[in-house]
Amino acid sequence: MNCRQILKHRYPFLLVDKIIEHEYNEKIVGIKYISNNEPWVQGHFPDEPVFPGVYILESMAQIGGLIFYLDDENDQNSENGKLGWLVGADRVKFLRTVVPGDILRIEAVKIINVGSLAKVSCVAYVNEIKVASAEVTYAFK
Amino acid sequence: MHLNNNEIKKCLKQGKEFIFVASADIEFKQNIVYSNVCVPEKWGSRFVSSCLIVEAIGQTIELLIRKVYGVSGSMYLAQIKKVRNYNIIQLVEQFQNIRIISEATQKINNCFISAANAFMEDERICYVEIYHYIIP
Repeated sequence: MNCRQILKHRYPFLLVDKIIEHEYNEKIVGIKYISNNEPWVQGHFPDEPVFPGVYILESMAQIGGLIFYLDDENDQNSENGKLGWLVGADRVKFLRTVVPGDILRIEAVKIINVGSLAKVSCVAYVNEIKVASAEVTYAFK
Repeated sequence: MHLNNNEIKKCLKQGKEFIFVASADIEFKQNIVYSNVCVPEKWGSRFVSSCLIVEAIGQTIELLIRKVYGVSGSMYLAQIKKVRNYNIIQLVEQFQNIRIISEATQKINNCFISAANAFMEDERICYVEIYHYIIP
């Protein structure tokens, strides 16, 4: 799955580097590499760079939304291209700091998909340690 | 109390490259804050992400906590209980027209519980409930 072709986000807000697992409409696992060469490093914080919590949430939202994207052009019955708009998030918890050099692995699992709304549970890990979690809600056109 | 952009840069721990509040007015008696949003100097993109509205709300509330409760040390955004996006903001020009109005902030031990709305003109575009923790 080529995230750049699917998501409209671009630098500095394309916050997913690759998808390593995708089970359509059920589960997805994505990776975001945290680098010193990103614009937030200078300001958050000047002496001690920490990947901003809201960027973790954005990264979870971008990866979680790809659950509903069917990457199969041959499937005539598919909803290929179905991308949700982020309409809400609940129970967002930041448990540990994420710093340059870390590899953020985000697992997202569908909770419910009813009509034009879907809710996804996202958990972010660094070295298998849970660093953040959230429930993200999407709306589809 | 009115805070201009230079005073905000002195008050917050974030560097000027990551400050999204242009100006703020704190109402001490009502324990609420109003602010105007901006992108930092030398912002290298025409675009913003919806997560930056949440960051701007977090920074706006942090100003209130520091001024009203006299917190000078480090704080961190521990939880976001609820985010509701009512509109999509993608361009810097739209983002710079956002105004934030908080609801009363409560302090419970080392935690500050707050809520705020972001508006563009009269239209509400975002609602956030947020928990800040003081690092002892």
